[in-house]
Amino acid sequence: MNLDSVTDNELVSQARQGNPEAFGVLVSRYLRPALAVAWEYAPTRDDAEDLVQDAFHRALRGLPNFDAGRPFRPWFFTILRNVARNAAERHSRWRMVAVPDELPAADDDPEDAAHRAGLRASIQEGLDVLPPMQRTCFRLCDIEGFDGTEVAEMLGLKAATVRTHRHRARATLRDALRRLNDEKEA
Amino acid sequence: MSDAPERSQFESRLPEHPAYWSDLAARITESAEPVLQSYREADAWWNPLARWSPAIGFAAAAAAIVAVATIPAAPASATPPPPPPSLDRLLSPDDPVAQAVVGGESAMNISTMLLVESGGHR
Repeated sequence: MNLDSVTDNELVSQARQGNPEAFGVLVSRYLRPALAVAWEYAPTRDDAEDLVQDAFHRALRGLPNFDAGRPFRPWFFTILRNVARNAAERHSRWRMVAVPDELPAADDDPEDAAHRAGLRASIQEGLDVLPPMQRTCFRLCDIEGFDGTEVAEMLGLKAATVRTHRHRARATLRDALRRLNDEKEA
Repeated sequence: MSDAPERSQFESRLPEHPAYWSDLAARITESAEPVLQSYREADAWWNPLARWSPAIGFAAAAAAIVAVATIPAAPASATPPPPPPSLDRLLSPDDPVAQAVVGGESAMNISTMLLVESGGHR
């Protein structure tokens, strides 16, 4: 039986009976958004992976109490956010600011490369000063490409709230870019 | 400035390699094996019972019907129960007013009752 087309709740039911394939499909289905959310709390990808693993295990252990009439996704992301928040409280070195691991790629044209590096640094600076939820909504929607409604569910917010956060984040970043352009032209 | 001019300046930090995701999913699934195993064991005990539950239910209902049908009826009594005593026998024997009220052919008025009570003396 191909489990890829099976509904979440059917997978949940089979996972509850100990079917590893069903649980595996459930994991694969939510792994990418889960890592994206976890990384908003954790400083490194490794830490985020551990959070995701912990959240999936907690969800699996909680399946006997899961109401099969309700959707799995919001339930799972609530668990994930709780796991991530608790971990963030335990590790004082964790901040709600995640810095990209990769530096700008080297370019053939040193002037272009310097300009792009400056641009990225400027935007990153803008991102860093954003309030955490604005930054998270902007990153998940505009960088990672998740749908606004999906992000709302991932973060436990209303879709309108996510839109507002994105709008404000964009305005801040636009200002940061303008400042950079002005400095360059001056 | 367009609505999302910054987009091109950013790169997703999430890995793109399918192998990364399948490896991570496998790691999570494998580490969850003890829990899955416990679910399978619980299911192994419960499943046969659940599979036969309609038949078990039907058999229990049939047994209950048979038991009710085969219970013998209570034996009929040979002697009929005694009739209830008449009302005047329940009264105290030295209560002439009550005897007159209960046993009289017509309703008594209050003065007659007073005469009966006093033995006919005013």
